[in-house]
Amino acid sequence: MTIAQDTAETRNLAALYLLAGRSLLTSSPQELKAVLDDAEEALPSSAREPWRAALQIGSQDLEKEYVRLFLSPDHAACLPWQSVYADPPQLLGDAHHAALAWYRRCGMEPSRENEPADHAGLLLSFYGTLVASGAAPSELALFRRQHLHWLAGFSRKLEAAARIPLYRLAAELIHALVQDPEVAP
Amino acid sequence: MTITRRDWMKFTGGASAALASSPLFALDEYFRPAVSRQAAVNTITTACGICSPACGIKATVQDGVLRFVEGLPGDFSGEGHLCGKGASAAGFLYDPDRLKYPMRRTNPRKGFDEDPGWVRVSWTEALDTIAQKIADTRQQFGAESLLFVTLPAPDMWARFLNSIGVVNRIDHIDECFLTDRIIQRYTTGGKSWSVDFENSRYILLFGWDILAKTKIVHANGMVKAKSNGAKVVMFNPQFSATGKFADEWHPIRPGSDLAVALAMINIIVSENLYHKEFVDNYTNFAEFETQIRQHFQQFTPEWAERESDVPADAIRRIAREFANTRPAVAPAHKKTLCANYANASQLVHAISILNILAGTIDRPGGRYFARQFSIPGVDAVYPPPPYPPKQGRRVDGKDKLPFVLEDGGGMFSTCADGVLRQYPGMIRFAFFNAYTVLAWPQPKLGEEMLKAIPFTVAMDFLPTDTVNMADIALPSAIYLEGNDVVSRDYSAKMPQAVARTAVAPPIFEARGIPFVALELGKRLAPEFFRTPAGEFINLNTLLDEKIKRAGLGENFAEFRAKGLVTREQNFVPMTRFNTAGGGGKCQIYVPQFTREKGADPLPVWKPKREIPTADYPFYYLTFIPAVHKRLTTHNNPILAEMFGPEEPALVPAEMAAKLGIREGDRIRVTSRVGSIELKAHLTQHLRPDCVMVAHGFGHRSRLLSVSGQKGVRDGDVIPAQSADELVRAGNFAGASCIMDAVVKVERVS
Repeated sequence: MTIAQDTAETRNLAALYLLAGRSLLTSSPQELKAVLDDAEEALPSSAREPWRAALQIGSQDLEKEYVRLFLSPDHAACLPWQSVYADPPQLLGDAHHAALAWYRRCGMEPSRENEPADHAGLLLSFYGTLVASGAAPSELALFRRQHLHWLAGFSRKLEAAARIPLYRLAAELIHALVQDPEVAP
Repeated sequence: MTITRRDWMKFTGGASAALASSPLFALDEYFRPAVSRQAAVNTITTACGICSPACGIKATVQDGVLRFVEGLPGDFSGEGHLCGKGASAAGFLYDPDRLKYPMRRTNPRKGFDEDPGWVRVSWTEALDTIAQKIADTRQQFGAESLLFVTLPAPDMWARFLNSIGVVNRIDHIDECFLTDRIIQRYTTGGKSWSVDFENSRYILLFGWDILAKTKIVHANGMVKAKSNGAKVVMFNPQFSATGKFADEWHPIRPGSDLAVALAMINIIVSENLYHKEFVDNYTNFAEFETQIRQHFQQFTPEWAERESDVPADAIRRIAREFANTRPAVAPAHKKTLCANYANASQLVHAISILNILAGTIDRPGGRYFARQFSIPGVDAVYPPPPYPPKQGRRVDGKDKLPFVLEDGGGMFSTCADGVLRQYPGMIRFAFFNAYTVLAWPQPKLGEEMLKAIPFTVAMDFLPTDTVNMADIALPSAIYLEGNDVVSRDYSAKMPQAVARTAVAPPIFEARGIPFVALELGKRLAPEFFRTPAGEFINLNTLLDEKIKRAGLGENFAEFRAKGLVTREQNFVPMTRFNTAGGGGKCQIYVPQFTREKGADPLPVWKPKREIPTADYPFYYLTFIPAVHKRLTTHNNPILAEMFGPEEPALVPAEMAAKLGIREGDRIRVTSRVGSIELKAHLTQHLRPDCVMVAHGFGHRSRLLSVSGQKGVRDGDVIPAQSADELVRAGNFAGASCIMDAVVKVERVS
């Protein structure tokens, strides 16, 4: 196996996935700001300022919106787990096991062991790392097919349900990453 | 796969200094090195927790995730089978709506259209806040200001409630078996869940739709009984599943079962058809024979026919058949109308007398007491210091009902009246565990109550209506996420225990109520939560000790490896009965049921609470669909698909024709306290003066994605009551009267 060249292009692409993933994993403005600092170069210049502005938000306000959207949603607005979009909808379904298998093949697994592995944030973060690691295009395509396809619908839901700019921006980014062939490798 | 752990580490804190310091790639909080690269699959023995028989389960688990369940061979309850609810276990465990973290409300306005503004808090913060609130409230307003809407179980939770002197604890039992438990204590020696259907030759059912309740142990028992030649007779206004299964069905007038039972006793006593050997040796019949014979003479079959619409000849014949076909049983259980009508105390007493006269109390073919392993509770393992006295007013008014007070159960049906009208402002703190006000008669009063109480905690596994209104929500683990021991109390002629083993750790940050009990106890009454060695109680050590003392193994791990333990022994019928004040005998005449205590030593005729009038000409009945358990299963997508998210009212075709109602029309059902609108489903299987609506639908919480805001609440037309009303009605064992409403029905144009 050959480690990918740490090229700016690869890193930028990975950064976008990692930024998108992290925006769904944490409600800490501080953590997100640090991540954004690191990912800013990867963003189109027109998107940088909106992201910066979106993170000028109090911790409790962000937490309230995070919980409302992802943890205690009004009629399940945009639950972030892939298995929830299967039939019947449930946590820890087949997609959880499939994601876990991917992680384990890389020698990793989610740190929070009682939580589903098919969280959109984990999937996007993992994929970003795959990109950065120089995974073969066939592997990337397989992962996208297995675990990222549902995020197009998810991002639309998120965009519609979000009450703060941060999650509208995250939705736009996710949608671009999973839909746009120019962006997705 | 070409990516290796080494590659991964390069980007997540490993080799590349540049990237390791990058916040983008700092994923340690989210990923860690894998413990195993294999998908571990194993089989675990456990027990269902949806309803009380707790059928044994063989669970297939992959990587700590439940994948498949099946019945456990050799288990007395399920006999190797699971019902639809039990088989849908994954739908509960992995419901996407499950509460995942402790949460604190930030929006002070409460209502179903209000966003609670939840924010996550740590368990420590949640428990500190709750403990402080309890301490402050108790100090300022006394123990009576605390309301706990919870069962008195498990034992750690009971210890916690006792340790802080909780006065006001209420539960659902008045809607269930409270009446039966109180009456049986004095007549036969105690509540029992066990009926020896398979050896019975004659089964008399007052209202209990056994086959539609999907308790496998009972349904199988009925099938075996029929296979063995038993006759089944059913009194029920609806031609129910059990009615269809029965040899004889009588569409009895709602609330008049008591009249039939009284007339049957009259026939059996006056014609000396009772089981003489049992009655002479094991009951107080001889002591009170004169009173008994004299009392029941008034209840003739002809009188009973006028009250019940059951023909006098049929009552006479059934009474003789019941007495002469041995063994015979009239199962008394929570659904034997115990909770339904204001005359339930009298009815359960009468049914108990029928069983005593049949001579089948703890006898083959009758109702018997389970032979059980004795599992010690925490107070036996670690004896506590003396508990503080319980001082204060009872918000549900049960201190006006001496037998209810003595029993210890609470009352849903009077709680809202107590909080809002009898003692306004008294309750300052409420803790709901696994209960929601949707279960109450007139749940709107429950909503008002929740708004009136300054601080509410709700612990549950789903965001119920009550959680929606709470100040702090705690995510509850469910039965598949904890270890425990279940001692069989259904169909247990010999002791059997099953290891309820966690098939998976609690999801997210869910915890069991014993954890909450212990943690609140440490904060509020630490002296009650220490071992004799001075350390705080450890829940795992406690369970090990219980297993050891019960003789099930050296510890839980050993018991778990066995899964199911049965102690083979012969069934030896009891000769002394544990009746309260009965001197070891069953009591037909109950001297303790005095007028001064609002009771009667022998059952007397009392009408139901409400009877049809010109304004409200129809009886209103409710039922629980077989695929559901009360109101706790409706968010399960598999079960919802089986019955549908909304339910139609069952309208007799004859009534529908008179009212111009057609199949699928929307109708309005109105009682003196409220109305509901829903679709009509016409049926020939219901008395023409009744309308039936399913219970458990109509959750208001917008946070329930399957069941939220769908269907109607049957309770909206069922009047809640005050404790004084119960006293006036002679409802001395506290039945909640959930079938006692009368209504009008009209088509909605």
